[in-house]
Amino acid sequence: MKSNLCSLVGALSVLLAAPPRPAPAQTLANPDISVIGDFRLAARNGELADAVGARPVQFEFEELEFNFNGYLNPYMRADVTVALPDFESLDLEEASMTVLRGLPLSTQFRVGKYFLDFGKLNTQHPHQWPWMEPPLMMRTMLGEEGLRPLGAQLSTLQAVGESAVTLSLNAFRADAFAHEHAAHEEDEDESPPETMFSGRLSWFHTFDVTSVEAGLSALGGRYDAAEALDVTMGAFDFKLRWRPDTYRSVNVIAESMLSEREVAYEDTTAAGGHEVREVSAAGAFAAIQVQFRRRWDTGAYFDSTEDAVEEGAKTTAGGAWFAFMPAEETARFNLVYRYETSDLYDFESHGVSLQFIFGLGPHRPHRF
Amino acid sequence: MKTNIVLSLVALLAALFPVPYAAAKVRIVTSTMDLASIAQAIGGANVEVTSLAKGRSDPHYVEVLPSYMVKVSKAQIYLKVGLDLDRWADQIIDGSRNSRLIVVDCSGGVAPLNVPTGKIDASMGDVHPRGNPHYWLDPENGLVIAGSVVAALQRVDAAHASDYQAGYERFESLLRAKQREWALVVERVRGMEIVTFHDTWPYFCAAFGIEVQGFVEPKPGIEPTPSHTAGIIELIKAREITVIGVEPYFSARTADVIARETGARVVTLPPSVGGVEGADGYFELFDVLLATLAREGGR
Repeated sequence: MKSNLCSLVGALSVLLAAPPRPAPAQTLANPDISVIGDFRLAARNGELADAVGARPVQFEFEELEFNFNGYLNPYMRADVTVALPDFESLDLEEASMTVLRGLPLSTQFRVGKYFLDFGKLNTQHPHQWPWMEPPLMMRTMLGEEGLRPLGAQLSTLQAVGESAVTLSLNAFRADAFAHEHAAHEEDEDESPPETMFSGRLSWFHTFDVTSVEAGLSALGGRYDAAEALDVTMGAFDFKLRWRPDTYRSVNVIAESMLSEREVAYEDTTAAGGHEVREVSAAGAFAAIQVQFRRRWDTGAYFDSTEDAVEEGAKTTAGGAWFAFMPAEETARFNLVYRYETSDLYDFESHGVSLQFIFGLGPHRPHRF
Repeated sequence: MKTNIVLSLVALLAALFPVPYAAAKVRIVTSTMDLASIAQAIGGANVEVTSLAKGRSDPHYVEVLPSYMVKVSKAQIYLKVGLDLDRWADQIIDGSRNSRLIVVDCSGGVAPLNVPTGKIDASMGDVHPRGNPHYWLDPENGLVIAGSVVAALQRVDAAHASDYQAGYERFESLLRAKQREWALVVERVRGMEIVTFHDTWPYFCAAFGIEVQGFVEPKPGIEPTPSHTAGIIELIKAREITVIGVEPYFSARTADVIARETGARVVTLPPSVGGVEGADGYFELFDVLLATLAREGGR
């Protein structure tokens, strides 16, 4: 017993005498930190103002977005975006790390929470959209804020002749796909989320001062484990950019989505329970943006979709904007008009907003 | 018979999976045409060089395009301007997925001018914290860039190390010959006072004895304002300046207004190879710049 105690004391003394373990290696450089603010002065017709519980004219705080980006090592980087959508809550928009290089077949691997590349518009932060509001088809088919699931992505970039072809494959948690619908609102869904899958194939080509990109996306899987509900979706996206110099450019953006979704409705017959119906929906969005001076641009958009849950309900919107960036791209004033009509409510809505966006810090340039 | 089958299989495999031959060119992608011109001069027939920014485009703002990523994915060397001019290149390099790429910041070894002191923020405009990045406009810095290019090429393609060293020596002797040739023109422009659109020219002016007295931009990257323009008009009148230099990618609209008010001439000054006709290579760029200034305002 005594010898055991001596051994223990001996071992402890060796441990205590050992030099302390070095702290984990840390980089001396801070990540890039940037803040993007989006404030609005909004005016609405009376019916719309009543429907959203707002005054006909009022200031609105849309969002404050904090971006943290940087390299983890020579092969990997991390991107974190936290949004403050109101004065009371925080929303983790994005938190992912990407293996940039070193993988075979020109692949990159990304894991975490990120903007899923289903279509092109869903990969963009809303402050990039001069039309201001998320396209209707994204709101009904992917969710109010778009689809930013927790998952993993493998993508490859290949040259095909003079063109660039990108293929990405994603596996992600289906709970990001959750939607409210009548039969499910009061359920306590304890089922662990399923895994869904998506992919996008895009082709990009540059002709002198014009660039064109076209993409095809597909998505599918069980989005509701408790009710065993499946969804299958497809999307087509197109973007053309003519930019002869820094003073003039024209962007043409078009995207369409198709959705086949199983939806559980409360069975109102004597049998009770839930009735599963398959709801088909299609949506399309198109916009044209014309930059006519270095810091001035204008444009118009058309937006229409069938509801992904309420069968046969259609919503259509359209509008135009006129934007000015005083001095630099770090501040933008945007006057936007929007018209919307829907089978889901019985009035037409008209709104005019003056949007103020600022970007503080080294926010990275957006990709094409 | 067995030998024939083996040889046939080897021939078939060789046809299906060709091995890159030893004389394959080193692929270099550069941010600007100036770096491309220098790299081509050093590497000669052993290199294949592509520039992402064109000579007439603003090197501060280049779009991050997938087609550029594809170009970089096939390259062995990327030449950056550095000093925060081509920050856009980082996203293109990341997007290329190229783990074997050697990225060379060509500003290494250059003594930067106009390094701001004190607190640096956006109230100073699009200021570069580590100094003015247009350093290639001093031909002596062209030699520094050439040194960086040679080191990278010798690392990637040791078999042609002596060729690259010879390329550097050829570049240096051509530079010295050009400097003697330019000396005659420099005598005509030395001490000349000009106004330019953007703060592009500190290295060029230091090298050739030209003085920039003001800028059409109130601060780097900031559009001209009426009050600043009025001040520039006063300055040009007071100092009897005859030339307003505008880079080819900036609008000459405000410069034209100033010219009408003062009688000065608006002159396109290309800061990069390919910026105007005739500026087809690194040395030709200086030929064009010096000839233009001598013609428009020299003695």
